[in-house]
Amino acid sequence: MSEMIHTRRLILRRPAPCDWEAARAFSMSERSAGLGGPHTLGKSWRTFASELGHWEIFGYGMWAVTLRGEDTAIGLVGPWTPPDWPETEIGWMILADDLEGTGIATEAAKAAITHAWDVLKWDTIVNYIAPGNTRSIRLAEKLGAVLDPDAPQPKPDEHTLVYRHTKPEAEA
Amino acid sequence: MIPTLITPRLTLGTFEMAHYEAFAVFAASPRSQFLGGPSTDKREAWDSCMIHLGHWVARGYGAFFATETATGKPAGRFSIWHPITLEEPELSWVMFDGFEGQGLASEGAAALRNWAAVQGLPALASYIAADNDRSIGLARRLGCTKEGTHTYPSGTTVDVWRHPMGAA
Repeated sequence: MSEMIHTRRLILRRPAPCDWEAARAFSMSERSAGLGGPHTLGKSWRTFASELGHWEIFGYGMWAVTLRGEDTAIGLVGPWTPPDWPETEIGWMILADDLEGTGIATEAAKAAITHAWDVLKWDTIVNYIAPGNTRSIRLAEKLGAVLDPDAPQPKPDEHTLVYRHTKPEAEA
Repeated sequence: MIPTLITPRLTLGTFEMAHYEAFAVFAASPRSQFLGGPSTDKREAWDSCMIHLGHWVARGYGAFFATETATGKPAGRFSIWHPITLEEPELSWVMFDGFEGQGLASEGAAALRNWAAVQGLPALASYIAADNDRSIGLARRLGCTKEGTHTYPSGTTVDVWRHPMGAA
């Protein structure tokens, strides 16, 4: 399994302990409000450990997004597949606060989605987004995903928006 | 990444999905009260599995998932648990349903303690609620001594039981 993706401006790599500071700063700030934050130090660490653990269990997980030539994680984007979820998700967290308008998040998410279709051979890709997380909704729509009001819900106790991606036709 | 430790009846080692299923059953039962349970939300059990595996990457040590060697059944989890909020690594244990009361917890805990000593970890602590009689009994059988208390950020206070150094 490939553990690195190169795009025009980015390298997506497996997250590592060195990404903790970027993850902590995001998780403990208002910027994580779309994910239920800001969180305590303990919760932030457990969330970060989950990101690492997902890779340990499945051999894939959310990628740490870095700019070429730098190794600081500016985002996490990629597959997230807890066994109780009805469908396979591509999720994202934009860790850096100055990416707005750069297209970096779109570039990273596109790469992760392509990898999920082509390498992981997924049949379906959704994004689970909390209602009101307008930034994530914008990104999902920019990626061509469409709200699917009839999709099965991932969380029994709260309503989640399900954005669905269309699988590209296999090339002849 | 997780090494394999063999005890008379248990194999301690890597995670399998069967451990998650068994842990979720445990987490939904009253016996999980000292781990913040019970909870019937399987997502919490799953999160715990992911966190314990990521812990290995972050710390270089972590949880061993126990299987009953004779049957291949998931039997429990033995962990050197050291989140960022703890000043020292903690030795903790969970026996899944049907595997308690047979001396398996002390078997696994002793093996993990010895492994920790080989890794150069200091004498481990176990944090045990004052009314968790079963775990206190096990700590005593393992030769632990009570040396004070620890208060979690949540405000819950537990007793600190210090293990003797394992047989490195």
